[in-house]
Amino acid sequence: MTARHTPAANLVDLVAVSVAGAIAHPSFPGLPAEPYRLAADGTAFLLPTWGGLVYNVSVGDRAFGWAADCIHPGVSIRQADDMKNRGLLVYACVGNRAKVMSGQAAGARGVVTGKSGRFSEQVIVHFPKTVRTTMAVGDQIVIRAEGVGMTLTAHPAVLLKSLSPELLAALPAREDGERVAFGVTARIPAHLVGAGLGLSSEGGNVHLQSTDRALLAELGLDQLRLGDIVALDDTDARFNHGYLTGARAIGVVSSTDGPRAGYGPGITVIMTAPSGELGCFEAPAANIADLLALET
Amino acid sequence: MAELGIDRMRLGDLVGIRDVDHRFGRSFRRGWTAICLCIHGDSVMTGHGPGILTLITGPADRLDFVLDPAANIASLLGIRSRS
Repeated sequence: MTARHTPAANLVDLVAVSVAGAIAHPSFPGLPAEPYRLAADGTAFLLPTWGGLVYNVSVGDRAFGWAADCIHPGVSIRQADDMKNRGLLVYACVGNRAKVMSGQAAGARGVVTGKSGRFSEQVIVHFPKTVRTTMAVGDQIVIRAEGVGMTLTAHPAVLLKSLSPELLAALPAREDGERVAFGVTARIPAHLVGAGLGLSSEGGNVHLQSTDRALLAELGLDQLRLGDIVALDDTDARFNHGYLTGARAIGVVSSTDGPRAGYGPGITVIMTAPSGELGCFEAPAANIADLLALET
Repeated sequence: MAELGIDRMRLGDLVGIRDVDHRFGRSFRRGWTAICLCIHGDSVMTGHGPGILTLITGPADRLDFVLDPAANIASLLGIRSRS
């Protein structure tokens, strides 16, 4: 029952595979002609959104308050071909190591910190800010993908998703018989789980809802940081995301808040269980910037 | 679903939802209400239960609903008699 305990997993059986993508360019749909989107209150807005190479937002920074719509910290990559991109999205796990293979930053090393959801479908990778200044859209980045197929030996009911062995080893954890619990900075009630419900829990994230700002402040959720480990109560993410009494999912905050209804900060689910097998406890410092010692 | 009686929902039922704002997209917001229509059946996929189409949404001090077991468009629109 120590905070640095790591539950046993089938680490010797895991296969490490190379997946890759290029730094994505931000994009807006060509039609309708205006690039504006609608906020939850109906006002039109135009803000930087997902994709690309983001110089000044990093894992560990605040998730709220940016003049942005669900921005990804650091670098977002994808494959041009949809099937290959699906492979990248499914295989890449939070905590996997990445390396730049082309351009002026060739050889620089990064870490996977999250995935985005449907319609964006990118893998989010952290690189130090100084490295980012030497990178460009189109640079090739490879990831040593390892984690798909990982199971907790003593907890078969807990499904791991997008979780690397490196991050598993770094998570604050407690085991008590058949129950395993992980440290989280916040618990999110099921009625605040938003966009992404009903969609894949393998290659996409799910968003916190942020329209009711007063409620977020009451719950302290407006203090979330990018990279925070959070629990989604009564949420079953085994096969797609949905409501289930007694279920729980645990994820990593991987993109910022945005003005659209249902699109608060994006959360990449890293584990889930359907009926009480997965616990959580308060761990205010549980952020992957610190857990994975990300270089700023 | 059984505890809430939602498992007895019928296609065409009008359903009320509290604390949601459906004006521009949909999201949880205290003090707002939506009145919706059950348009398709349940699914085995997580997150894909009966489909609910929003008909009316507004602030709860201006829009409310009352329970009425007969509130189904099959009878309201004369599509079929209640069986």
